[in-house]
Parts: sequence; C-alpha cells; structure tokens
Amino acid sequence: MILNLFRFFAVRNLMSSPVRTLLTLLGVALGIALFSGVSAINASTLSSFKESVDAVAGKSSLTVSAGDAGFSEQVEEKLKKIPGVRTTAPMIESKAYYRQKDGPEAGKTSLITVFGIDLLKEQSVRTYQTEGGEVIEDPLEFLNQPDSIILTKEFAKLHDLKVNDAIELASAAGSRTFVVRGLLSPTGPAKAYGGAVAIMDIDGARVNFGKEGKVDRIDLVLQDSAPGQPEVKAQVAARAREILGEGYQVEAPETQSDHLQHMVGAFQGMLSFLSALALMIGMVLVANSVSVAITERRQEIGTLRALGATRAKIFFLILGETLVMGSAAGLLGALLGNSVAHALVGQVSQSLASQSGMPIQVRELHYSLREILHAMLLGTSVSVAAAFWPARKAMNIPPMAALKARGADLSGIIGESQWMKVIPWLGAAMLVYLFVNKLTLNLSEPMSPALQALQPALGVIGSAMVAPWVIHYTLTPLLHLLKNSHGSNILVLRMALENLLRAPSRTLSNVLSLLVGLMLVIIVSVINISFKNSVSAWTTKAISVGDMALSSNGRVVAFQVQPLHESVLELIKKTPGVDLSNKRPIVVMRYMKVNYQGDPLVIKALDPTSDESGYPYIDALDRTALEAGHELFSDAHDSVLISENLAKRYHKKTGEVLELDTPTGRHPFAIAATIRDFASPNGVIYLNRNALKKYWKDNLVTIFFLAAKPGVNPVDLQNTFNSTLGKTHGIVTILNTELVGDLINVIDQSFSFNKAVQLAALLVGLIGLLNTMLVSIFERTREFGMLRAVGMDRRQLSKMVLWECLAQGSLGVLAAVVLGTYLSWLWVTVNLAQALGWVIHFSFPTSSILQVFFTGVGVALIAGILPVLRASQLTIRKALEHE
Amino acid sequence: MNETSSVKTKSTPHFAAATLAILAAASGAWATELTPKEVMSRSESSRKVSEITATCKLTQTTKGKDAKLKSFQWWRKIADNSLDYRTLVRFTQPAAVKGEGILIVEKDKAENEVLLYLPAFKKIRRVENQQQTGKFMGSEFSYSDIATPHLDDYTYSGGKQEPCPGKTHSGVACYLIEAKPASPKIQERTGYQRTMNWVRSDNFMVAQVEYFDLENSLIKRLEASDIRKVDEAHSKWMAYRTEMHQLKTGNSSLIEFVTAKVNGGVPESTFTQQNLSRSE
Repeated sequence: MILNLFRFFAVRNLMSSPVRTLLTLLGVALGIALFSGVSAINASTLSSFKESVDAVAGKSSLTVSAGDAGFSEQVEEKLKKIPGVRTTAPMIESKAYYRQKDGPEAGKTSLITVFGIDLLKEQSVRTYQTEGGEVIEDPLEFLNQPDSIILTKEFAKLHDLKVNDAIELASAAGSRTFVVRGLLSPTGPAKAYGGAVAIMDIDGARVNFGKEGKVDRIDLVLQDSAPGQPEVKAQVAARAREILGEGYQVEAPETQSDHLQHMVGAFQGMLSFLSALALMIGMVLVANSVSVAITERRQEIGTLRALGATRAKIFFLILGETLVMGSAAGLLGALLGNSVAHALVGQVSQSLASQSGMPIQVRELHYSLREILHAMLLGTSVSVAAAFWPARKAMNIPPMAALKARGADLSGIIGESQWMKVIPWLGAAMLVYLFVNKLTLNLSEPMSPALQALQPALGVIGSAMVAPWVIHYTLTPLLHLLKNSHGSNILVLRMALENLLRAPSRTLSNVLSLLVGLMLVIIVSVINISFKNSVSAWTTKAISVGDMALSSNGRVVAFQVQPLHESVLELIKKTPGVDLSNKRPIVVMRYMKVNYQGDPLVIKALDPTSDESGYPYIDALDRTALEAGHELFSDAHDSVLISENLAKRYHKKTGEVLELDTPTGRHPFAIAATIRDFASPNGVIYLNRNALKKYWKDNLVTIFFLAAKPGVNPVDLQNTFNSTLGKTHGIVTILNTELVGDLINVIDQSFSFNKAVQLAALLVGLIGLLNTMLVSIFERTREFGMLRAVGMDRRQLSKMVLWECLAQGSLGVLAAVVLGTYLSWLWVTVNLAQALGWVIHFSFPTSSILQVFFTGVGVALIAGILPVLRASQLTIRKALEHE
Repeated sequence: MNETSSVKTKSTPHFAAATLAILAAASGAWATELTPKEVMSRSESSRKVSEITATCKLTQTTKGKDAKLKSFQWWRKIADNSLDYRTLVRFTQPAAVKGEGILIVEKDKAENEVLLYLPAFKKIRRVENQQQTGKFMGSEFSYSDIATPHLDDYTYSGGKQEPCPGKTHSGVACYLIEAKPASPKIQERTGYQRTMNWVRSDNFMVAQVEYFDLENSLIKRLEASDIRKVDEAHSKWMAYRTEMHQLKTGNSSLIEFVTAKVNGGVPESTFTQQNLSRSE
C-alpha cells in the first residue's frame, strides 16, 4: 500500500519533471563531489605525512632536533648515557633537487629528501629492504665513497635510473654527481614522502650537504619501548631536555604530525569551508525544488489528505522522495568526488608543501568504499535536511486544497512574510557582529578553532539573510525613478520590477542562487589579489638592492633550495660584471627555520653591509631602513629585526629583547626594529649572519642577491653566470623580474584549487537559478495569459520576462559585490591574519567585480533563455486554461 | 711442521676466521668420555694462538655475478686475560676500500667493540652491537662470526659422534654439538638462535658449522678446511680456508690465508684507535 502510494506520489513526480529532477540531482551531486573530494584530499594528505613521519621514525620513540642548522654530533654521546635509552641513531635530513638530464622532462627538477644515516647503527632503528639480495652490495665500498647513494625503486623507475647510474643533485658545493649503489623496496623510510627519498651514509651526507661535524636529528630507541611504557619515554624526554638545555626539541614522532596539522589546518579549513559552501548551495537547490514541487501538487496532496492520508504519511512521502533523489545525487557525487580528488590532489599537496616547507606528497589517495558511502550518506542527509521545512509545510495542506483551484506559490521557499521581516535584521546583526569583532580584534590572542570556523559561515549566512533588503532598497528607488518616465519599454521594465517586488520570496530565491556563488568568486579573488599585491610589492622592494639572485637548483622563490658553502661568494665576486660597491653590495642570506615557543619561525641571516647601501632590502615599519640596518649589523650587541606578524603574535616590540634558543643555549637579542616580511605565517627574524655562525655554528648560504656593475646589462651578467658557475657548480641565476614572476605563479598555483571550487559553486548557482526561473515562469502561466488578454503582445511579454531575469542577475551581482567585498575584507584582515598569521593589505578586486558582473548577468541571461522562449510561445487560451 | 715453515713455505695457507676453530687442540684424549662443553673447551684451546700476523684474501661469490676479491692484512693478539682477542684488519685492495680498517676488541659480557676506519672521511665509526649481525666487509660473514666465541657465552648439548662432513675431513669422526647463546644479549649480537657444530675428534678443530636464525631456520653453513698445526710446542691449529655459504641466496664468501706468522710479536699499539686511523 505504502509502496504503491510512494510509487504514485513520489516516483511519478520525479519522473514527470525530468529536467528539474536532473538539474537538482546534478547540483547536489556537484556539491557532494566537491565536499567529498576535498575531505578525501585533506585526510589523505595528513595520513600520508603521518605515514612518512612514522616510516622515518622507525622503532624510535623520541627524536631530538634543533632546527635547520642542525647540531653537534657530540650530542649523541650525551643522549646514549641517559638511563632508558637503548640505542641512538643520528641522521642528516636534506632537501636535494634532482634535475632530469634526458628524456621528455629534461631540465625538470624534482624534490628528493636525502637521509644521511649511520649505516652501522640503523638496523636497530629502521629497516631497509630490497626484494631479495642486499640493499648495498658492498658496504665497505659504499661507506668509503662520498658519492654513494641509494634510491627507492619508485624514484628510480620514475626517472629511469638503475644501479651504478650517475645522478646529479644539488649539494653545498653546487651540483654534484652521485652514483646509485642500491635500490630500496617501499618499506621503512623508503615509504616516506611518496618514495622521493634517497639514503646516504651520514658522513657522505655531512660532506655533501655542508653539515660537517653535525647532525639534524637523533632518534632514540628506548629500552622496553613497547607500548604501555609511556613513563620511560617521559622520563627519557625530560632527562634529554635537562641535559641538552634550550634550543633542542625532544619530541615523539606523533607530535611532528600534530605540528603539520597545526600548520596546514587553517588552509585545509578554508578549503573545507569553500567546498561546504558549494554543498550549501546544493541544499538551497533541493529546498527550492521540493517547495516548487509541493506548490505544483497542492491539489494532489489535498486529495490524498481527503482520501485519508495522514499528515505524517504526506511528510514522510515527501522526505522519501527527496531521499531517493538525495541517494542518487550522493552516489553520483561520490563518483565525481573521486575524480575531483584525483584531479586536485597534486595542486593541493603542492600548496600545502609550499606553506609548511615540508615535502608533502600524497602517496595514496584514500577514496574507498567508505568515502563513497560517506558521500552517499551526506547526499541523502543534506537533501532530507533541505526538504524538511517544505515537507512540514506540505503536511499542513488541508483536504480543502483539493477542491480549491489556485496558482502555485513559491512563498514557501524562503519563508512566511513575518519571518521575511525578521531575517534581514538577524543577518545584519551577524554582519555587524563580525565588524565589531574586527575592530576589537587582538591578533596576539589566538582565536578558538570553533570561532575561526564559525566566522566565515556567519558571514555567508548573514549576507544571505540581508539579501531581501538589498532587493527591496534597490528596486524601490529604481521604481521611484521610473515613475515619471513613459514609453512602452519603460512600462515593461516597470512591470518587471514591480513583479519582482510583489513576489519577494520568489525574487530572493533566484537572487540567492547567484549571490552565494558570486560571493565565493569575490572572496577568493580578493584573497588572491591581496596576497599577490602585498607580497609582490614587498618582494620587489626587498630585492631592489640587486638585479638577480643566485642559489643552488630548486624552488628559489620559496627558499626551498640546498644551501651552499659560503666559499661560493668568492667565486661570485671574481665573476666580471658584478657590482662590488658598497652602494649595491652583494646581499648574502641564510634562510632557515628555528623553533620559537613551539612554533616554527624563519630566520633570515644576512652578512653585514655598509650603511652606504641604505639597506633597501629592509622594509622597516617603525624606523628607517638605515637605522634598522645599522643597528642590526652593529658590533655593540646582538640585534634582530622582527616581522610585524611575529611582533603581534608574541607581544614583542622594538627596544625589547627576544630570547632565541640555539644549539649553544639561549641567547638574548635586542629588537632593533619591526619589519614587513611574508616568508612565514608565524614570523620572520632578521639576524646578523655572524651571530648565526657564532650561536648556531652554521656557515651556509641559501641565496646571494647581487647587482650588475653600472653599464653592464643584468641579462648579460646572468648569461655569464650560467656559462660559468651554472656549468661548474649547477648554480642558477634568476633575474628580479623572473623572481617576482615565479612568486606570482606560486601564489596563483596555491589558489588554483580555489578557482575550481569557485567554478563548481557557480555551476551549482546557475543550475539553481535555471531551476527557479523555469518554475517561476510555469507558476505564472495564468498571469501571463491575463496580461496577454488585456493587450500585452508576445514581444512585450518576452521583454518583461527578460527584464526580470536581468534585474535578478544584476541584484545577485550587486549583493555579491557589496557583501562579498565586505566579507573578503573581513577575511583578509581578520581570518587570514588570525589563522595563517599573515598581515596583508586588502586590495580592491576591480577586475573580479567586472568578472562577477559579466558572469552574473551572463548566468541570469542563460537561465532566462528558456523562460523567455516559453513565455513568448504562450497562447492566451492555453494560458488561461492553465490550472 | 713448525710455525716458521708454516708461514713462509706455503703459498696458500688457509684461515678459519669465523666463530669457531682456528687452532688445533693438543689433547689426545678420546672424545667419547667428554661432555659437549668439554669438547668445545678443547676446541677453544686448540685454536687459541696468542698472536697472528697474516695477509689474507676474501673472495665473494654472488650468484649471477663475477667473483669479487679483496686483500687485507690481519693482526690478532690475545689479551692479558688469555680469553679475549683484539683483531685489526686493514684492506689493501681494491682501490675503493684501500686503507679502510676494522678493529675488533672482544670484551666480557658479549660487549665487543667494533670500530671501522674510513680513510675517505678520515674518521672512525663504531659498529653498534645490534649491527654486528650485519655483513663483515660485505661478505657472508657477520662481524660476530669474525669475533672469537667464548666458551661461557653458550650452552651446549648433543655430543654424538658421526663422520665429519666434507671431503677434506673424510675418515675423521666429528662430535656434533648444539650451541645456544647463554643470554639474550649474546643472541642479539650474533643474530642466531643456535648453531650446530661438527668438531673433529682428532684435533678438536671445527670442520663445519650450521647457523639457525632467530626463527630457527637454517640460514648459513661454514666449512673449514686446510687445517694445519701452526704451533707444535703448544699444539695449536689453524684452518687456512674458511668458506661461508648463504643458503637462501646461494652466495658464498671464502677467506684464505696467503701468509701467516704465528707468535711473531705483535705490539700492543697495533690495536689502538690511533693505529686504526693511520693511513697507509
């Protein structure tokens, strides 16, 4: 009985409006696909990183490290003596770049993490295996030859390498040839970082990567380190901290994964939020469709009620119908989600790697049956949730409705008129709250994750809620303006606008579909443009001291390169055409990460230069660059310059002291100035490189900035470097213009994923608009017939419908521009600053607004084509016969 | 044969480098009356030469590949406790390993110290205890195979007699003794759950050893041959050829003495880190 009723009521409805069903299904499926795809990418990224950390940690329970500079190998002896430590394993961890020599990808570089390990100790910590045979054929030969390297089979296969082949990697002395002496199966550390790892003996790694006498980390295997012995671990960790003092991190492997989660959490949150918005648009679509279907079937529902169907039965019939459609949308979304995840995972992991400075590579995208079921469940849940309110309205339709013929009415889509009065006020309150919150914001106080997640949602929901005001307060003055104008066209336009005002719910429904999608476009564009403008303006200023940058091969713009021995400076100085004057000195910089109060900060250590240069690479905020530079390089005391985000985050200001933990202990540095620098979301510290050598025992150089002598063309000097140091040492020379271009590319790459989200959201918006437009024409068939009967011709009717479409599109654009700009301003100045630590300047999205205008109006026109055609083909008799 | 002639007249004297017998037992007692531990005690005694200086070669045969040859100098001297040996190995060929040195200092409680000198880095590296199950010089011998096993490091069982395996021992009866590490630490260092030892009943030199891994699977077999008496006065013996077969892969390693000088005077300073890092 129930099944028959369901077949009669629900299935028949779905089948009788195939276009609407298909559009709704597609819209929800797209939302689900984005949401599921993003969730799968986020989960896979973190689990891949965790797997990498675990693979590298092996059997060790604790890891001792001290930032990029590493620390003395002597520390190992101290650690060995701690009661509870069974064995120790030192490691050098270096990021090298492999440049493909031949083949279609010749010249392309790929990151490879080189582990320098003590092969005479490793067995007790990590496992290295090959399929049969030995990893290293001859350990004695391997150990005694600094060019020995072992690759993973995966990496070797990808780059067509085999045992005894030579490969070139960036080393501290420039590019160097290594010999592949073994291939690893994907077990143990060979599983880490998607297999892009290489193994060297620790002494070879020290020599090649400028870490003589040092280690980057020491792994501790504990006695009785089986699970259930946490107290041993805690005791050893406490003792290690006590012995080593400040400047060392003693961490369990799981803590490293937590760090990554912390670092990329905000970025992932943003992705999830954007994809959730697409899902939200899908929900609006479902609510629309169901409401429309109910209004169309008012008589049918009334008849069922008159025949004895209870309210609950009607309620569940409608929910059941939505459930079927939602499940189908969920399944389609799940399948599409898999494609979305595969298509975007590379971009997302690259963005995350750029942000965190960690070699994140997703080895395996987890999109299994579990994810498919989740997506289906999600599709079903959001559809049912969206249909809940319209279904409640449907169950209240009285049996009398069967006897009373009346036109369909979309008022149920948004709500009752009483609500319509309250909702904009509520939305305005939300937006005002966000504004007040922005004014009272203290960046140095971390915002709770719940509030961080809530704020953007509040912004979008609030904006949607104030949309009725935007419609009312735009259309009313416009009508007022047109009041005294005459002519048939004006009359048609006025009628169109009056129609929109007369049915605010219907208008709002159409505008909302566009509003959310277009707002997304504006928000993402503003963040992108603001980022690009702030960072490129700063970079241009910072590198203006020279004409070009020299470093080893790698991602120079992100400082992800193998640092070089400082002796390379002498070779650079000897190159003809280099300006060696005090006015445009060679700026020698070591870029590295250090730990400050548990957060990773960036140190940029610079060689002292003369005051004559004016220190243009220092973007000082509270002093002149000259004063800041002079004090930084003064011999009187150790000084630092700190970035504004660091100053805000850690309550520091010029004149105070910043205590830094170094491998030689904790040292105070006077803060000489606050500067602008975008290298790290946590903060950047400028340091005299002499201090780095003294306290961190590090004498490597990441990058050299230099200028061509007056009269020498920088391009010619670049060519000279390419043919000399480029060939002998593999050093790359990048002109300032190229550097800024690369930077913009990196930022664009990071946002490319968001653009995909934008596109999908727009598509869902378009489908939504098309759906509601079609329905609104259908429901007004009788009205159109009346208009035609009282003298309106086909052309005028078509024009009126077209005006309505255009006006609604323009309203969507207007609301999106106003509200989107406001929200993105809040996002740039509040959320980004809070979540990522960036203090960037808001850039007005002129080009995006134009883009949004054309997109919005275009989408409205496309959505209006069918309704216009339909309206123009209506005959008076047919229209009046309707219903 | 006296010790001098044994060193200088033979072009291919052989050497049992591994775990067990190197020198022959002097005792003529008949084995049937001996317990397994007594057999092994006599075996230890027969191979206990105070000092050896030798030149050796190591041939590594890997299935499907050309055999690889390494040459090295060998110094070994017993410590004052008449139990622990110090051994220094220095490679002379091929060029890739020339100058590399290994110093093995046996200590009580299975805490052998193994140091490796790498001339390319001018650096001494310590081979951790857990790593001593690893390959010695890339051969099928492990570092722990090279060190001399101490009698008390193992418990013994068995002792039945059977014909010695291998052609070179034909006609000689062997004791078949099972040896198990006496402590988990020794087991960890050696990487073996047990060994089966065929000990010749005439000179108490080991003729063959089978090694079982921690899962009790037979993994390696050592064959000692060319066993010669090198110290007539004290009745000490040496195996001049010792071959280790890796049963899973079919690979093998053969250590042979080219020249050997017994009790010719090896200074204590030979076994210092300073000497180890001396480039030659």
